[in-house]
Amino acid sequence: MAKYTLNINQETRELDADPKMPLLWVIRDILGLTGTKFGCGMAQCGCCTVHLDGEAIRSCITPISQVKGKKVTTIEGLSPEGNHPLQVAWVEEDVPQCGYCQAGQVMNAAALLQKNPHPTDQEIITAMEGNLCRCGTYNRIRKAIKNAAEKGGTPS
Amino acid sequence: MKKQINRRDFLKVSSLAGGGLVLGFSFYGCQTAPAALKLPSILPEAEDPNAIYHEIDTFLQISSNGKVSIISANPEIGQGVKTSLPMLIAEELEVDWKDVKVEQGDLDKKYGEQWTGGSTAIARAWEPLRKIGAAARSMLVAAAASQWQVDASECIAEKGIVKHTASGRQLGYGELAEAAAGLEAPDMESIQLKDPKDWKIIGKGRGNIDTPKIVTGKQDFGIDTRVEGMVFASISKAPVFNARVKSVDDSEARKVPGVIDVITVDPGDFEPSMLKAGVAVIAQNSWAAMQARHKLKIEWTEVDNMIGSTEEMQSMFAEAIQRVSKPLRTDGSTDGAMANASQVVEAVYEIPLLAHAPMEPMNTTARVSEDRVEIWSPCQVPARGANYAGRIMGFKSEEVEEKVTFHITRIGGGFGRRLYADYVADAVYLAKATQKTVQVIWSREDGIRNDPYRMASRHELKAAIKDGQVTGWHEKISSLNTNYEPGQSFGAHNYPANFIANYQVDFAPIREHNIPNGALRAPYHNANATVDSVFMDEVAHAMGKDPVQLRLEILGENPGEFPYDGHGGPTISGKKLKAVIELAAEKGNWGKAPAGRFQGFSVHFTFGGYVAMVMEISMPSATEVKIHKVTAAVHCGTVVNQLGAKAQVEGGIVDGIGAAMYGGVTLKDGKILQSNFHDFQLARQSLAPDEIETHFVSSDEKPEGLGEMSYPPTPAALANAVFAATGKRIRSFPIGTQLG
Repeated sequence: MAKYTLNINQETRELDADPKMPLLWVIRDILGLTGTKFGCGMAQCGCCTVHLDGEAIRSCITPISQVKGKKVTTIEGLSPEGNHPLQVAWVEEDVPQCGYCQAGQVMNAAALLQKNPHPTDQEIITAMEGNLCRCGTYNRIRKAIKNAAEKGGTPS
Repeated sequence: MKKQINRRDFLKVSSLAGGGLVLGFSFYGCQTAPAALKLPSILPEAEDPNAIYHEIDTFLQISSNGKVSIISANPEIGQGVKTSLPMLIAEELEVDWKDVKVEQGDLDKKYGEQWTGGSTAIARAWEPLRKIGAAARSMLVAAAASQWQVDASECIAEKGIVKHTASGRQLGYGELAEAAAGLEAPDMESIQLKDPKDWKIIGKGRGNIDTPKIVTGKQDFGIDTRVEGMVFASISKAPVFNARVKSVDDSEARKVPGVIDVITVDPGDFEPSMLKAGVAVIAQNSWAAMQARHKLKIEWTEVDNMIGSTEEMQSMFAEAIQRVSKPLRTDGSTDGAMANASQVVEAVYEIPLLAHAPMEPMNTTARVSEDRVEIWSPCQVPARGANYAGRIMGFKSEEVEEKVTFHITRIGGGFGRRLYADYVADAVYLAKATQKTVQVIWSREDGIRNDPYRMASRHELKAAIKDGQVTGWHEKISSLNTNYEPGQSFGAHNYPANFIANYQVDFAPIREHNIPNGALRAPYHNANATVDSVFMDEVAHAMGKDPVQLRLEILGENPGEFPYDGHGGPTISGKKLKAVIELAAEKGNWGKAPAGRFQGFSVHFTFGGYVAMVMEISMPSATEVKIHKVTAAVHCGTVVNQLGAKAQVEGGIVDGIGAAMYGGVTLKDGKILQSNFHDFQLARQSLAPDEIETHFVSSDEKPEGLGEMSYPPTPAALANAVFAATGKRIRSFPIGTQLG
């Protein structure tokens, strides 16, 4: 066990954890933020996507020891009011069915738009390939990302 | 003591604390559940265990401040009932959709049977839920009329307000709720429903009601349950189905930091579909439990009737088909038709075992205290989970209702997996053993290797052709069968049954085996539709006919309606089959694919709905499939929620594409080989069609559910398109491994 100071969603949290413990479980089981989901445990589904210094990463394979000194953003911290252009677009395009994978989809898409504010269809498909949706909402995810991109894509 | 059941539908009125109207609804139907879905009832007074008591699952509350709250009691698995069912009430109640709040109800006798499956929710709620809205509206109008001392017919209700047209007086629903609660509920039979032309909500699109919470991380699923003092459990289950724990060495596991305890799960006399043998690690967090569980050294017992490999299973099917022949349906003489045919087309198809793999892994949280159990679980059939809890605790069945509290959480995908409640049993067993609040969390590997799999099957088909017509159709099926009896609908009544004079389906079940089977999205149908629609394509090509043209010829000019005793009956309509075939062919530009693109067609009737589709693909290389467009034509009666209905059709198509391309698990040494999404693949972005176009046949008939219908015809449409592109006929699945 080791002590960590984690900067998460612009708050500082102190915690004790095994250095090998993946960030996902630190977030869910120690910090109690459950918006980030467990899906596979081996970076195959994208449900656990969070931002590390703005980059989309799979928290299920990222040990807490590698997070030191970096800023973590989860779905709860994506925008203070829950009105990131992607969150709005997801509602407008009625994307979710069961909804379980969608936090990861939104986080992955947010990182995409940060780097590439106006992605083409093919760029969206390539960037989102790692995020599984068992309900098959892929077409609506593409539409929502385009919708958000047209409105500016990133929070002002 | 059995209570007398009043067979009449009735409404129940009561007051809300703080002054307001509560309206409940009891509707005792006698529609029988599909065999696969027969459920343990939690209603102690249930007279007939085969009947589903439709004490309807929704309550309406109007508080004195005008807030309208609808309790949705059916589990929401992504099929959209938490949105579409309340739409029915809101329409008749005359309130703005934005003013309606929908809450999930716990498992409670007052809501009646609360389960999700078989695409039944919309169809069974269609009248009752509209009536509850209409009744509430009429009571609110009556309360206003009484206050104003005018006739109710002079008043209208609109956007949550009752208005007296002549005088211009008006009162909000909140102001009227308390007075309305003192009135007698109208007689169910006398309630007038709105003319469809006046609908403001039904038939329009309303988005998933939980989306704002889902996209901000505020929506809790079962796995997100957090209870003071809870611990986490991961269970190592038998790698060969039905094996028991012979010995366990947990010394290394116990050394992992955070581990609290190691418990052997002994199912005793419980059936394997309820509780499987295993060894559980209880820890302070999920990760520690999962890590430690891999350090367990377990010896397992030998198993009777073990199927060792996929090849062995397939040989069993082939052998059974030769040996056993139980006809499910016999029309005319297929032997005669074959003997007189100018051409006989024959083909053998193989359908693999398939795991459900919903995105939210199996989990349940249970708390046991002094003769009581409290459960939080993502389960499609909470009553089954509650009964399992009662059995593990040793409660009498009549005590379950009182002693088990079951919180129904939002569910991260079902697809049939959560009709079963083994993960509920896991949690209750461990909570009882440790006397702690335990969250059981299955890994992805646990889920793929301990699934009630879609049954694998072998289908041998023969068609007789004479004078340019299909004169005979004979299918022999063999399948693993534990949870199902083959029943009426296993291929027996699907199209082209009824339209070919000599038609026979035989069934040869394998009963002695250890593989768990269960219902997966459109059970039976997801295999049958594949086989029927690919074979029809084969027959058309053998005859030199266009596959759509042949389907229409078989139906004939004016096709009739025939009995259909499977789920979705009581009839199958030739006219509706024809309508969707023609609409899909027209909208999908059948036969007019651009250069370099290839089309496949299929059609199927499932659970009351008809779906035909054109799939258009290209193949950038011999092993790569690019799906450009899927055009689906759907006949499901009235469409309640345009957005939700289209979502279900789109989702079923993408699911079907993934299953057709990659779906299936294989057995080796009695174990399932696949384990996670790297070797059990689902459709990803790049495989999803560029475009999915859904066309609903306009209809004023009652609505049918849509959670399953578009899935069964999809694999065949893809397989037929691959044939058009490559000339390679797909007769076993998945397709992906056969390309190149």
